Amino acid sequence: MNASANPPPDPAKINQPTAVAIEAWLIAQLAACLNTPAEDIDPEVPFDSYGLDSAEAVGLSGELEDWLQRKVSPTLLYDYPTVAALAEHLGA
Amino acid sequence: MDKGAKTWLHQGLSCLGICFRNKPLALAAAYFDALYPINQRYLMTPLTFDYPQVVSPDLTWVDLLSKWAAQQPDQVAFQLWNDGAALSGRLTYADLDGRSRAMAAQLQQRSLQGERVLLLCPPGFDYVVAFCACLYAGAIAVPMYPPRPNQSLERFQRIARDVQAALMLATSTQKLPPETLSTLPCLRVDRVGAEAAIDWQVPTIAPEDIAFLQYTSGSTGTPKGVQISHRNLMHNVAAISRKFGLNHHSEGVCWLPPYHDMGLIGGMLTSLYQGALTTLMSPVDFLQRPLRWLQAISQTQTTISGGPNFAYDLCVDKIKPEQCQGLDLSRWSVAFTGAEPIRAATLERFATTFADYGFRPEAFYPCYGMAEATLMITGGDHTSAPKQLTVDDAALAAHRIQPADQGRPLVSCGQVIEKAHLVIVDPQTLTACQPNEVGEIWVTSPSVAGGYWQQPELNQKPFHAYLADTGAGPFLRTGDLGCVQDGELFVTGRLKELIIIRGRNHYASDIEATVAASHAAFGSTWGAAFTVEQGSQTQLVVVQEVGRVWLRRLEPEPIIRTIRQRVTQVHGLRVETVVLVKPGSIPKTSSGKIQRDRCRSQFLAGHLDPIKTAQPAPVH
Repeated sequence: MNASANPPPDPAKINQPTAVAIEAWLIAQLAACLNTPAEDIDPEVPFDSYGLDSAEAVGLSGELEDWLQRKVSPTLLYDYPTVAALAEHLGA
Repeated sequence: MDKGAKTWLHQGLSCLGICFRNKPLALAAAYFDALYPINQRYLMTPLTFDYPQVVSPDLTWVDLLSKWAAQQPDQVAFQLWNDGAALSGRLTYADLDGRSRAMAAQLQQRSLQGERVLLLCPPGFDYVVAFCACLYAGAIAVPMYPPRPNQSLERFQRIARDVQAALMLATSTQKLPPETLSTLPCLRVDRVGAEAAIDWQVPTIAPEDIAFLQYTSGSTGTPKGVQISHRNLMHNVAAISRKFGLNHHSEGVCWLPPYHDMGLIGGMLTSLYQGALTTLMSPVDFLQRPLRWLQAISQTQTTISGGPNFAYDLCVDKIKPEQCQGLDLSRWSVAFTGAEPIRAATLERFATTFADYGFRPEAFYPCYGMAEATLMITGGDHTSAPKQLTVDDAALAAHRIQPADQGRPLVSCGQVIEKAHLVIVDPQTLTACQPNEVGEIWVTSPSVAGGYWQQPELNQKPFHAYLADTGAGPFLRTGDLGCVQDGELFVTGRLKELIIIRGRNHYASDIEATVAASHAAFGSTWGAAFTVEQGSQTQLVVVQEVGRVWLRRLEPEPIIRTIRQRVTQVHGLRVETVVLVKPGSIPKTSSGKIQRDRCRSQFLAGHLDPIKTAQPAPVH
């Protein structure tokens, strides 16, 4: 196999979780934050519909940073306002 | 983090135009002073820069900054903090003065002296320059939450109309909704070259001229601009400086949004008054990772920094011990807390959590103030821990302060600032209360503003209050309740939130807290408690939002039963009417405070759109 035929993987994306894993993580975090069972969280429903306030939304971006071990914009949840959209955006 | 705390965040986030459930509205007030003779402004002794506390009250902000720029041009006024390090850019006193002159020259070209200019810049150097430039041009600065695309422009438009704005100041990278740009000309602050400074002319400004309008939100629904004069501003920053024990070697860290009086005056202008250095951090950077605030304090070895009560709770809730390695908070000597009720429990848990990293409980600096009085009204002694007082609940309900072993803990907000006078007044009789009685806080001082912008009728009540028996006044009626014990102010609540049923006083916020804690369906939602008159009876109404995830499987009857039961157990009150509503139904101010009056009006008008209402059976 000729290694040069395949571009090397982007180092920033090595060991980065997939969109599916991120979605599961986000649902678990959101459920914990809202004190509700995970099955009540619909990935297609906007965050604000769950009563998640702006401080919690910015705070969640901080937890995401910790988990992903990379920089995340504080206002990311405003640009990608559902679990599905955010996971899709962040997924490796 | 408690509710009041979270609400305040809306203000912080609005700095980026962020609001999920933003509701408009507003109110607050201010009166005026005239205690100093207006004269000799340029004749008086020059500023004594080793002791800037003795700056003449007749100086304007322009005099002050120009002098600092001449005296210490290379001293850094502001630096920006970004994730663990100060960025390379610095704003020196010479830079600030030069850029302000250049920008002011542009405003002067447009003949904007006395005109209103909207400040829309994000927090940072440009914001400070834009603010100072307005003052350098004799224009009236109007700090605003920057509007963002796809966000309601209601508040923006209301204020722009109210002040008949002539211009907006923003930065070149800032995206503004096209509707705002179509109505007003906009100058981009960072595009003004330094060479324009040469055209600047010293404006003729009197100390009583309005420097800026601080918009506040209140319970009635209309934002009102408190008119802060140069004299108000100078008096208050001087008073804060003295209370905090500042000098021009002091250093501060500020993440507070500059659209709010606490961030603008307490965080930035007081530091400029001292010719000192402040490290600025974006409000969302703090919210995303509260540890950054403490790291900035630790790494810059700053002595002055603070925020509302919620900020301290957020640190305790979010920061993990393993993240604190190397944190050194031992130099932090003024950890101010204000702008929302100060909770003894918050101070205690913060002090306990961060004691290992050098935080000292005596650093806590509770203070009390409001935009109508520029900012600070009372503040503690910066060298000792705040005094606390536990009072008997039953006595408090009867408007009396009675120290007790068990009861409600109150934190002292310290003593009144210099040249100010504070009285506790019975809001019914308008006479001074006895020393152990709770009443409305009235204050008079050179910091009390001249009133709301173009609201002469509204100004009468809050800004021109006189004691009924002695005729003393005029006072500013703060609308807050409290008492003075040994010269120290203890704030107990808002007059408007006082619920009087069968001669006993209850605080609406206490009842709301009980309701919120009564069921998991009320987590992260809001509630409002108020009274309505039914025949000769005063009846208690509770409107409570139900969390979105609970709506589908909601069984209202047991929930309503729980609310009634808890309120009766805790407060000895019967809730006549319970209204359950969807999240976002309770009206709130732009700073996230619930508007009970407005909610009450909506309830009476039948505009609440309830999920479920439980009322007593009509009496036949």
